[in-house]
Amino acid sequence: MAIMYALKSSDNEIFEVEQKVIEQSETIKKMIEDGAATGEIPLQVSSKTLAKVLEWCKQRQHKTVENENDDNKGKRKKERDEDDDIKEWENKFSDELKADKDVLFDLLLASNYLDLPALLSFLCQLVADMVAGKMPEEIRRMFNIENDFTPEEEKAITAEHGWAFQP
Amino acid sequence: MHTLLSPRLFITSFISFKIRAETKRSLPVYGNAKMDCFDRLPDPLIHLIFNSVSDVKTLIRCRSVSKRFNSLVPQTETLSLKVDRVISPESDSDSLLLSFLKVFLRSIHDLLTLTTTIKSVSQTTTLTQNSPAQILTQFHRVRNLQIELPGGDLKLDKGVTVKWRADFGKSLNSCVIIGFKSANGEGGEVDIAGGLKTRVMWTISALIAASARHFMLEEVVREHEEMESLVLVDKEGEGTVVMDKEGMRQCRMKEANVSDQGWGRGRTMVPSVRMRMRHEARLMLPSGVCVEGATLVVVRASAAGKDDVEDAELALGAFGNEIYRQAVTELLKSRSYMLEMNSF
Repeated sequence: MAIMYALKSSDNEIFEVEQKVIEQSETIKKMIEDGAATGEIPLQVSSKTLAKVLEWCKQRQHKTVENENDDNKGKRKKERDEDDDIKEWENKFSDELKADKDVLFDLLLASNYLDLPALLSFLCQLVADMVAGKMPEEIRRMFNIENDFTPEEEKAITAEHGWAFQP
Repeated sequence: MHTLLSPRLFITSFISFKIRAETKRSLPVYGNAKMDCFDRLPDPLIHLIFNSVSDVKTLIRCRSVSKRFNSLVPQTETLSLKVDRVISPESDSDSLLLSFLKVFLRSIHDLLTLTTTIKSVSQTTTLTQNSPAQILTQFHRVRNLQIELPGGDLKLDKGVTVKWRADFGKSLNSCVIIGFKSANGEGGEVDIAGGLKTRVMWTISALIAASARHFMLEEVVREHEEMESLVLVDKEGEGTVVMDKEGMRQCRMKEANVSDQGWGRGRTMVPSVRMRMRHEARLMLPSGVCVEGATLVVVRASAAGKDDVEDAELALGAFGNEIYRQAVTELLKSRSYMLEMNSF
């Protein structure tokens, strides 16, 4: 029987999760090891975001279990197929986050708070890819960033590094 | 009855009021589409994102997005700089990169009478040209840097592939070179008589290209003392120059007047080296690709004095591409010849 833990989101929703899944979070793993994780574990993460966190953790857990059960025979082909499956899953996961930037940035904060390095670097790369090659105005529009430069200040930066602003 | 109930009612309503207030306060975070996403991220998370961006051009554009971005971008630790054009020697610009390449091109030409590729650039261009060192001065905490040149330096015959990877300190530490001709390419005749000459020419061209690139990097190495890894590649994947933390430390210790001697030559001096060369006239790779004149050379500064096993390990780790790795693996089974070369 898998050991289950109850996680409580900031808006009081309870998520029942297997220990192996949630132990990917170094923060929670430490709480469990210290014996601090009795009853419900309260987290400063909204239910919407926590659901996404767990979706990620389950996918990762699924992958490691399958690899352990593999024998070497036919492993290469299987690995290739699996890689394709994971890519497909990650693409879908990314697309959902790109469409809802509030959740994306919540998830960034949550992966940092829960100490999930793999998720954190995945999300940083996702945001980086969204920014790549864009002009300042496009970046501002994408993330609702206010331009707090005076026109003169902005002009000074673009003039100094003119080459970088060529298409 | 009323007097008994009222305190409880009071508490209940107080709690519900409190919850409502909290919900209200968190509304801008979850509900308001006009929220600046980055406002919620602490600086260290934005640093992580900028390190993932790494592309210098995008990062400079980010500087003009907002004041906060402008103050955080210069602290980015992982950078990747794409040099998108190499200026032709005829251009009037006095950029440093230009003078490096000008001398470098001449030196290759003189030594090998090889014609070199010059990426021609329209003469009417009005863009200001910047050397990598100039561009990178705005970054103060560079740890990992990759610079990509637009193309390789070697002018090779059709069907010929030469790849190299060189490790540098103050000068060359080691270099692995692999070269071959594709067997089904045009002019498939194996040039047996010129075989050794060709192999030596490949080796020397690679060493000159490597030391010219190293020379280009010196200024960057001196200016960024916290750097831990530096990699110079080209878009065609021809050659790679790597420097680690220790290599860069040695490079900075080099006296200024010694480095000045490089100016006439346009490259770092290649120290006297020992080369372990392996060769097969025809090689069938496990993937089914057949290559001719396959050559593997492991070059080491003479002072290093490493044995065959260490050379083999170095060669196996040199290339990421599967075909080159297979060729290295196969060639390591062949007999090796030792050659020595004086500093040049």
